[in-house]
Amino acid sequence: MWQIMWLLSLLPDFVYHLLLIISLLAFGASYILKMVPFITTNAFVIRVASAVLIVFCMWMEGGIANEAKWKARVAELEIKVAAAEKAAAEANGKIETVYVDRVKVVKEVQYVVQNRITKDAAKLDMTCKVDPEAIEILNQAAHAGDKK
Amino acid sequence: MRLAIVVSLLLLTGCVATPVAREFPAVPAGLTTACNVLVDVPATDKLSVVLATVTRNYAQYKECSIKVDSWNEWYNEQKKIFDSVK
Repeated sequence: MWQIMWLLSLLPDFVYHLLLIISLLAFGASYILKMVPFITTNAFVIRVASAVLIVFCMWMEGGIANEAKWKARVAELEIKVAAAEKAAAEANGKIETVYVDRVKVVKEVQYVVQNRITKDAAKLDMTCKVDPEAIEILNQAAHAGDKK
Repeated sequence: MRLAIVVSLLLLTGCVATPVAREFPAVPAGLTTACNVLVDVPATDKLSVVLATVTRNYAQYKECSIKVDSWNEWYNEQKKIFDSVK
């Protein structure tokens, strides 16, 4: 069915506007212009043909108006989507900057802590001796819930 | 009956899909890496070695926690932006 619509859409819109005007005029002429012999003899045929054409053109006019409405909506959405994509990229940039900065702070603090441990190692090791069981407990706790 | 079917089909041709393509927002590269596994304390009786490992693990936890926070923030921000397009 879309092929029919595609074929019909190949014609420019003004063709349907023109056809509608012509068919309306022909429909009216079949009633009014009774002095013209051709119209008088073919009045019924003209009336039926123009009525069919009016219905078809009205349908096409509806389709054209509907398509124009949807095209406008699509254009509006495309603008909104482009703006949203830009906003998303900007938000990503901000989130990444904050993430990198926070991780940097953690690494800096970690560096300071490690240095302090190294500096005070002798004092720490002199006053405390760690039991191997404590290490085992610590390692066990570190791996609780790990992927198997 | 046949005429009604033909007319209905013709009317249905008016229902043309007009899609607007939307790209899934990219995720900051730093967030896509997995959190590191906690480091084991080596067999030792020195408190300094234990302390070094434990604090290193704390730092790893902190990094991972920041990553999760960032993911949540990313999701909330992107959802807000996504929902704004109507």
